[in-house]
Amino acid sequence: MSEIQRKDWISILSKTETIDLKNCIENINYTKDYKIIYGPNVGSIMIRARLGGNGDPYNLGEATLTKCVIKLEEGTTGYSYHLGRDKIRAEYAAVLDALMQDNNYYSKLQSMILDLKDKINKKENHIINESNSSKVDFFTLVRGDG
Amino acid sequence: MYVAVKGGEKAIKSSLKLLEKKRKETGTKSIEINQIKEQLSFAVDRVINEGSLYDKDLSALAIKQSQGDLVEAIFLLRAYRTTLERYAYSTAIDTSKIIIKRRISASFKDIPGGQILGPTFDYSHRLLDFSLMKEDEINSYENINNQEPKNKEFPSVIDYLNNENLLEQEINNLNDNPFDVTRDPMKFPASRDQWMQILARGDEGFLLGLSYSAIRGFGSKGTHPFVGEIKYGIVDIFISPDELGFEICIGEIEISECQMIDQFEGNKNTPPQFTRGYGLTFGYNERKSMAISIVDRALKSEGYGEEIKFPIQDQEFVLYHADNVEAQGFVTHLKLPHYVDFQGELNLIRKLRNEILQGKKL
Repeated sequence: MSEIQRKDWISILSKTETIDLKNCIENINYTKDYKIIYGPNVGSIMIRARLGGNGDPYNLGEATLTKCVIKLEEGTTGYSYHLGRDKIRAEYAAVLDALMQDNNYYSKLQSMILDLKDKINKKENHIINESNSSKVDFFTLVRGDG
Repeated sequence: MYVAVKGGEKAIKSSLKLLEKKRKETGTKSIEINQIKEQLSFAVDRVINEGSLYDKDLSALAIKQSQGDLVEAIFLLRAYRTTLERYAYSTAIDTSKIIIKRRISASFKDIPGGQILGPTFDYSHRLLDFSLMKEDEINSYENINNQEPKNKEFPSVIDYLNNENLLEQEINNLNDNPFDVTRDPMKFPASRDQWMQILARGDEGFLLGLSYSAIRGFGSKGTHPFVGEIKYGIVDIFISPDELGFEICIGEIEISECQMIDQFEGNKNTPPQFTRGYGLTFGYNERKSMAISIVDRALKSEGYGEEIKFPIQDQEFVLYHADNVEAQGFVTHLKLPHYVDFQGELNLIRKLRNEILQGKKL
């Protein structure tokens, strides 16, 4: 099974639905208390783009962003930043971020997180395949004797 | 003279009740937020752009609350936005890494990755579909194909022209602190980062009208621009929080992008070449991204040493009037009580008339 870097599991968690995050925590029977250090609170993020697509950055507009920081009994701190306003989802993701940093829990969660990654990939594949179904096949009529 | 007038409390209460009653006149079913999000998605996407806040749930809520008055919905979203603490600025989004939903070019037929029509009204017959009058249930599409696609890469079409130096290059000045209209006062001459933000949140109708004026002859050269590429799809959003010290993905958003190619005669320093106009919006908003790209090109006129003759080239004209929250505020303030102001005008007119009429008699 491939190792998962923290950067990658945070990315996976950010694209995972609340119910799937909840299932992960329940599946490893994590019932200990954790302390909420911050939030979950809703704020905003300014989304930047590039002039002409590849030039200097500019401010495109904002999006809602939910932030949560928690601390496990074991002392590990977990963070989450998620687009949108789902506070419960942000809290689960912060808990999972903390658990994944703990070797003991990591080994239990690893395959579940990889499954989530697979689920995200499949969803993306589905969108691209759907789009590709509307790809134009040009055909050229040859006129005259050429 | 200012005279405070009290009263009207009862009338206002009743007015608000009537407004609410208008929404449920005959007791039809309440629309669910998800129904608005899915079935009125273009309205939702318009409101997130001009409300300048990407949150489709809140946009749908605003549309419901405003009873479909989109300018009012935009106002509601803008007002909510001001209550939020800003946590972060994103890394500039990379539109070349997009999960494609639509991608076309009007300049080149054969492009790597192909022309992908996606969901579009372009090929619909534009005839009213009366079957929607009594559509009972909406069946979701279950046809799932999640095999690895043959192709996921959609290289930028205009790079072909770049390779031949036929196209103006984007200049990277490494400006890390772009203008922010929510925090900085407007300044002129405006920089491109300033106008691109204002156009992104500008009124779609105003920008569409301006871009139409340009291609009808009231523009920089009165020429016909070409769509280099239009893309609609999903991109990841990244931030680098100080407490983590590395970049993380925080979710994904939909965007529409338009690369417009326009002519340029060249000048003393530059031989003739193509110039670019760029448009980017939240969500699926192709028409607006095209309009922005044409306005962007026109606002660049001064930089090319072109004569500024038309409204679309005039920075102050465009940027001061593109915002529909400001525009509607100023236009509709006229309906507020101006009793005293008007009394003053009335007295003045009476006085002037009297002077003239009496003068005639003498």
